[in-house]
Amino acid sequence: MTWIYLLFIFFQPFSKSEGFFAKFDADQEAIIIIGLGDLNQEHIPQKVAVYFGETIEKDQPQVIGHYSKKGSDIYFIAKYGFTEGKNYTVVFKKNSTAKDSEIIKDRIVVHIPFTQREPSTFVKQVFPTTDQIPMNQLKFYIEFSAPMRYGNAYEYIKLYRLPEKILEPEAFLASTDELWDPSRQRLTIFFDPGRIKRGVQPNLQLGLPLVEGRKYQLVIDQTWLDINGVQMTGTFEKNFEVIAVDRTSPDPDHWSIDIPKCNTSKPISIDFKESMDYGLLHSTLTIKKQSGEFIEGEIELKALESQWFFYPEKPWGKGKYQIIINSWLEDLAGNNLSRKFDVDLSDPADKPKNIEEILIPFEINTQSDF
Amino acid sequence: MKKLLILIFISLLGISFFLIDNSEKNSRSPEKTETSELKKPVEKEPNYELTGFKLGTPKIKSMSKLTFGPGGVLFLGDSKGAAVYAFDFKDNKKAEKSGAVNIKDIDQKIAALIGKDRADILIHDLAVNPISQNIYLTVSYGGKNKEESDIFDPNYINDASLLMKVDSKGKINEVPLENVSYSQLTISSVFSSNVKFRSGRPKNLFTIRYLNFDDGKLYISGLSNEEFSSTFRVAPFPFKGQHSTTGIEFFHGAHGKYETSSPINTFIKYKIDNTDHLLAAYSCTPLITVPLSQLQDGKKLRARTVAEIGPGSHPIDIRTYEKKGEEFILIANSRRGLIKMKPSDLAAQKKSINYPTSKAGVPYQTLIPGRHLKQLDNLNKDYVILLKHQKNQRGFDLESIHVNDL
Repeated sequence: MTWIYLLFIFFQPFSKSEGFFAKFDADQEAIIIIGLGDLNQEHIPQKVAVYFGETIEKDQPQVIGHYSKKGSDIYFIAKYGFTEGKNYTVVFKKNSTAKDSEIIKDRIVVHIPFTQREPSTFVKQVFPTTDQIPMNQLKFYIEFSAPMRYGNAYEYIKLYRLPEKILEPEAFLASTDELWDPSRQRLTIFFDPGRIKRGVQPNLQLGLPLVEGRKYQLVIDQTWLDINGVQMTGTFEKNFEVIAVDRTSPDPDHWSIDIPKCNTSKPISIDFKESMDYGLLHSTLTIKKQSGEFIEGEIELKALESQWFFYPEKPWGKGKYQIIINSWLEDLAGNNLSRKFDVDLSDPADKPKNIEEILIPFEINTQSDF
Repeated sequence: MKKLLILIFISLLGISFFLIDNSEKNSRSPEKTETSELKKPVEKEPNYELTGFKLGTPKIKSMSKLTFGPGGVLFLGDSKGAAVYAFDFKDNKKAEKSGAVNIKDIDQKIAALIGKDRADILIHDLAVNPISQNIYLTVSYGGKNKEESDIFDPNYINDASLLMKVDSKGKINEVPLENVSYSQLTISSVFSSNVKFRSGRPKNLFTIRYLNFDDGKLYISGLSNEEFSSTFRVAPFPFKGQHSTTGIEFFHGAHGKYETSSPINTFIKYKIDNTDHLLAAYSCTPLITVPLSQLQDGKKLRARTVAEIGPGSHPIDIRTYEKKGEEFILIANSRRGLIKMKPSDLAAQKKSINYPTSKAGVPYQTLIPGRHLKQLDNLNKDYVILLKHQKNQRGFDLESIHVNDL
């Protein structure tokens, strides 16, 4: 009889901590648990658990996912994926029916490596695209080809004075809140408005960040990481020359409007005769039919953002329409339709016009000409 | 044979000693369950006729606001999908007691459940099932990868895609939305995704800004694509495929003008002078009232501005609570913390504020100052529950406060 006892001791299942092993398989996107082949599929959830991190906090829930058996291996696929660069702990509970204090387990920590990715993200464009920038230019928009990592943006954005390539420090308002669009592909950066607005302290102490007649280079560094933690494909440079200050509000009387023909999907366009703010050209103009219905369509900007084109989703129908332009549409220097960016309170001509919207009525006729 | 059994018994003892010995190597237990559950007969709410429900998987585009209806039905707003879903999860077992729920690092626990960093998740809304006292949260992940800025509305950053349930013992589970019993209300006259705010964010983020259910009706604040874009919609429940739409205008003291385009951030149905009113708050932060009888389909109406709580802040939730038999109004605000109003002071504000001012009207008392509140709801008759940003701004806690301490 003794040999039976010995045999039993010898083949004690799962009694040794080295009884199982786990690893991450990048191709299968699964943690593979090896050495628990004796477990039936239906017993896996009671016996095996995967936790996020290398330590398990009190009350920490296990990671939601699916366990399946392939041969003698157990595959764990996390429902919402594994996080690269992080550790997961695989726990084997030997006695799932025991009371809390007696739960006995072994654990193995599995590291999920970063996927090696080739750089693919780049700066698509910096707006305004013009290389003639007014001395009181207010902001730049930087558009990326893919979402970027949040935080520390200003470490990668530099302004140099040419030709010496001298760094212009504190040119931009490095606010703690970075102004990203929801998809994190467009960042808005402001020149320090305190240096632009006349008479306020930063303006008096440091002067305007840009000086008329000088040339500058805006540099966006390649080492900026995208959302996957990968550098960009290259450094972006924008050279520009600074021209005179712009202290006039855009004047709708100087704009020209091109109206398309009925039953076509040709665009309606406005020529502002000066470069306008890229971002606001996308959000301040809407077109409404007399019946009140908004017209849907696509916007295209041309001629260094001085021309706005609107392509309707459906061909234009006969009738009366309105272009509604919100008064916060600005030129490059932040002068909007209602007021200038930098107002001289003693000058009556600088008084804000107090308008909310500008309405431009137009009509689409069956006649081909208007 | 006897000997064999004895030997097996001994060997089992051996194993268990070995196992106990081994357990000491693992100092921390991940599966610490709470004290044993009390087995009480389960009291059920009266059955509610759930017509129009079907079994299936709804195609939800963006989860946002939550509120509970009759019989534990959960309403979930989908702003981008222009729909409200009503779910019957059969979560209608009456809670056994009116206890507190306090969970530190709730965001970290949810993150652990889905295998993410806490910095990668956002909690969008919170609602307590008034029957079971289970806490439901809408959650998103992947919208940020750095410390969160003090953003007011997570839907600015990301669409929530997960529904989580936290029970009174703090156990967190995902609520799967596949093959569930649900019905759906389609919201009409909504902005298309390419109409944007000045910030560049699409206006359809706020098709549904807040939800509340009362007496057979679901009330929905939000935006419509009509001239008065601030819109209040009312739908009978069970859904019959339609809702009424009323435009609301009010005088905003802090801006010194009438406004028609901001959505109502939060509201409740509230009796003033024995008449049902809508008590609502907007960003920046006017508080308004409208008699419910005035809400008529297609109508545009002017609300009474009863308070200006101060600009630069956002109201999050309005609730009422009873303390020693007396009722109070509670408002959670992004900057002014948790504030309390007396119903008598609200009723006394007969005139609408119609002059420029940033602070006026119904007086209030600040119970908890600061900028760390994110969500508020009634947990039960004894407690309210708050989702709070931790002081060091790392994460979030669920914290209950007894009504006697309010």
